[in-house]
Amino acid sequence: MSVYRISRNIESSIIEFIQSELSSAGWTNITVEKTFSRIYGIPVETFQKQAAICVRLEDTQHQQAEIGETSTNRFPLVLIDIFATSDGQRLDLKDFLVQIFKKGLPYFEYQTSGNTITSRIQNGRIRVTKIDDVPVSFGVDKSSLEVHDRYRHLLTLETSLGRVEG
Amino acid sequence: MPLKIKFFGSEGFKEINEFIEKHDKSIRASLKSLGDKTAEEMKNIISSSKVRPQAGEPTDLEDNINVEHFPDKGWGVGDINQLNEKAKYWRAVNFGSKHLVGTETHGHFEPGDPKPNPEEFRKGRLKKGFYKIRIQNEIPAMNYIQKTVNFLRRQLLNLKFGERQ
Repeated sequence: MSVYRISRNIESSIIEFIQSELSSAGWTNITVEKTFSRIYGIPVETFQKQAAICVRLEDTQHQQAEIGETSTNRFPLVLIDIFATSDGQRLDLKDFLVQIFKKGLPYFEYQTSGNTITSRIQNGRIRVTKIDDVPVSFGVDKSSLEVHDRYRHLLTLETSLGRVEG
Repeated sequence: MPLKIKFFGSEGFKEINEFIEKHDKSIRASLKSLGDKTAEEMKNIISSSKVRPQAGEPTDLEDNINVEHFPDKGWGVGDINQLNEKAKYWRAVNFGSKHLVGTETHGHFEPGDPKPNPEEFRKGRLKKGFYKIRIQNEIPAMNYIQKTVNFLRRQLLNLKFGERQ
């Protein structure tokens, strides 16, 4: 039995949240993945409107909470890449995600056994303090791009757990 | 991004104006130096994110990330026209891309064995040569722009002027 540390908890909580919200809102054929290289192995099919979302927790800044103390506030940067099948789907999907992230999301602590998550307990919420919302452009004609790279969008989330770490 | 200046207590417009005049030069100096720091940070992010040996290799992307100061208007990092001309791949490196996968070129990895050898993984760099090579892996997203913007926001939040902020 082992437990995820905070960064993996945040990443997994976000993935679970997106999957759950997509399902509740009736989105189908959207795969949520956390490894960038695996995205290109997922078929993105225009005909079936099968899109993919990649969630990555990148740099984290730890800022001293009080002068003279070692406790810190954690500010993880989360990057969410959308690989859509059309411009319309790209815009709808990114607006949907922005809408659900505005309210923040539950933060879970996961316990695992081997490669399987055995349990999770909610311990607070992940606050989204800033969202950057930009289309990914490679500066060339889209038809010359590989299908995964044609209709991409990038959301950058500044997040916080809203608590001091000792 | 707007710069917010907070005042606490019961200052009137006269006191606020005096504060701004008093700290105007230091605010401008701090913001100007932040431009240089931001460009340096972006270069550091790029160089520290590279996984293959870099000694003696060209650094076109880092070399073409400059800060440009505009009198009374602030500054900007990274001239898109210059990058398009001298480091055309800047978007692919930032966002990640699969556009080269499947294409073929002629070359070899150096240093390293000409034949595939798992022990030499990521130890060499592709050079022009005689062996036909088919590119199999996508360019991973470095997101140096997003990471630099995050750095800049944190720096702006930490700027302090005057005694009460």
